[in-house]
Amino acid sequence: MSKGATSEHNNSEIVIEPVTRIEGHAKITIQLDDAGEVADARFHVTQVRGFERIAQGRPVHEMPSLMARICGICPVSHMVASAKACDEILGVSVPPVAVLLRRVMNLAQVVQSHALNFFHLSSPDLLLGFDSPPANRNILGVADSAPELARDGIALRRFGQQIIERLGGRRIHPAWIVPGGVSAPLEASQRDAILAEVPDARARAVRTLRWFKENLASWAEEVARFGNFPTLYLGLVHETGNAAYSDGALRVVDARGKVLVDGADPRLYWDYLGEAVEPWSYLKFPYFLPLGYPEGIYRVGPLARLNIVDQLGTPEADTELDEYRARLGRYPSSSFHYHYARLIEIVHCVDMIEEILSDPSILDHHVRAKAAVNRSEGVGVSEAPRGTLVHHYRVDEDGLVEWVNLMIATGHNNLAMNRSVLQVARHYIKGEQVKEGMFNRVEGVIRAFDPCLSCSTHAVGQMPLQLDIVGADGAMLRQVVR
Amino acid sequence: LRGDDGFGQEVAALLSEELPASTATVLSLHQLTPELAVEVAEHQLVVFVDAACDGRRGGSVSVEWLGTPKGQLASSFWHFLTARGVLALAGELYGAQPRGALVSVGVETTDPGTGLSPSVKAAVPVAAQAVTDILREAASARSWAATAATAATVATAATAATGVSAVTGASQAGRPAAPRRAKGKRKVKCPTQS
Repeated sequence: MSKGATSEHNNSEIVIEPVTRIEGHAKITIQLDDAGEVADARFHVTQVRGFERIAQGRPVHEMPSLMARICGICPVSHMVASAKACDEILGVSVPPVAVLLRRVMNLAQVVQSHALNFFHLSSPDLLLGFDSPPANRNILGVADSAPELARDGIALRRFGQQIIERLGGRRIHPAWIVPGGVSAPLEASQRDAILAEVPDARARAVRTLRWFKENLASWAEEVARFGNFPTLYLGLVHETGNAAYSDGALRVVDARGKVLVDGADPRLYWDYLGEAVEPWSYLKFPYFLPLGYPEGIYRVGPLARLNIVDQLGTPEADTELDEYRARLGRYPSSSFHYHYARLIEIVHCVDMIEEILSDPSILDHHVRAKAAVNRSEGVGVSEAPRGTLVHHYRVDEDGLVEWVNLMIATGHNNLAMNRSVLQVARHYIKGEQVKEGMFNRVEGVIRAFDPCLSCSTHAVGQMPLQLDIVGADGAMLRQVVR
Repeated sequence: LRGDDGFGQEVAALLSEELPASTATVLSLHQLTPELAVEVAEHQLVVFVDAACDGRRGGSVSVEWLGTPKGQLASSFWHFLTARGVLALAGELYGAQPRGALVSVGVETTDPGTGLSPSVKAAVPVAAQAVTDILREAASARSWAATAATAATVATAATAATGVSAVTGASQAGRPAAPRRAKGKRKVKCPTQS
């Protein structure tokens, strides 16, 4: 099937394939009833998990670098969570400056990943419109219509990538975060180079946020329909109630803000989270254990983080957070607001990078604690750009990995993404005569979550995604391929 | 971790040893992402090196000039760009018109694992020589002698995804350009500089 084309259809089924502008591939199936109304919708991930098997038998010291290969977009997040799991297995206390340096790299990761989603994957819809021609609805279309917006996106992405490169020696898969800390201290010249770029990055982030706020009213329909329903929200927070990305304790709040879990050790995640399995997807369906499946639906990532924190922790970002809450309510429930939350988080992360690097102790040279294997099990939890990330390992007495469990942000959001697809499909799709813009909205709600299917399935490489519309008799009505 | 897909990184490593830093910048990347357009825009020649899952014989090296980038990227967009897309973005946003070439190799396997298959491993020096030849020819050409104020860049990508996308981009070089300027209905106003 050619790109951008709708293809097959007979008289009882529709397929759209693939959903584009997400990382990796999957499939959406929309089931119609006899009246042509949407009866059900499912977001499938159709590739088998891989990295949990690949890691078996590998030395535990290799794990951060190996796990970073899960994803080319958020390798640092995997390195942070993996290194924390290894820290526990080694039984080491990570030097304080190494904790801070890991935070800086993780914050830079959030900036570059959020920039990639907002500017390059989502802004084509936001700027050009969900109904604009798909041939133009891409980064080149944005560059053509709003070159300054595109340049801001590239600059913010580059800002984050250059921090990762300066700290880690390479921009993709740096091997700098290691069990026990980091492999090399920060040099003053590196710090100064990063700090010199902060004002420009902040200005670009604030400018983009202002543009988004000015246009927010024009997306009222999408706000109302894009995964707008109550769920729980889950993530890490510091003891202060501020946002936490590399460390922190687990907090879970419900749709009205009632705190269900607070100050919990995230390494005991199994006390709070269950994982259901559906036969039609390789991606598991995590749920909040006390409420059961599927009532324990929750969301993670930017929207959830802004809902669970008391405040972010930097003045400019907190001002933006106050306005966000004033405009949307204290606990906004629409998944469309992932975009807004993502932009506020970029501002916050840039501010946090500056704050941490302005601490003179950041140049301390004791950056790594070394030890042999002292425990057989370790859990590392951090916040990846898309949400809470769990790495859980068991090793033998020689330090060889025996068992791995990964809970990835995209997996946490799996129930919510499925429910979101159903909500959008029910509103926009009536029968098999579906216009491109309607399909794009089904895809768009998925893009709001910014799923990373390479991560979520722990697959090696990337996967395609398709969207099928299926008739009441199970026959394919339509299929679209990008 | 994907077998022969690591070809590009092997060639990059070899070129890093062989090419003087003043001659070229060698980048070894996991995938081609938008910010690469900034670096590309600072150079006059960009040679992409990657593995190709296009059915050709494993270890078979080919060189293809990517042509004029403008108007060539109108397809769906992922977290990564095609080689042609990077060139187009550099032109659209930064006014650059770098020449682009793709040196690619047919793969035998991209199954999970490290290390290259024998035929693809043998192609590493062949591809490196092809890159060197491109740079030498460009530097010796009269037009380049007059304009080559900056060194050429060698951008090397390696992943299954990028490998496929880069070659897809190259294989579409002969297709008519899509009407990129055919805008859809604008729903929101464009951002403005403050």
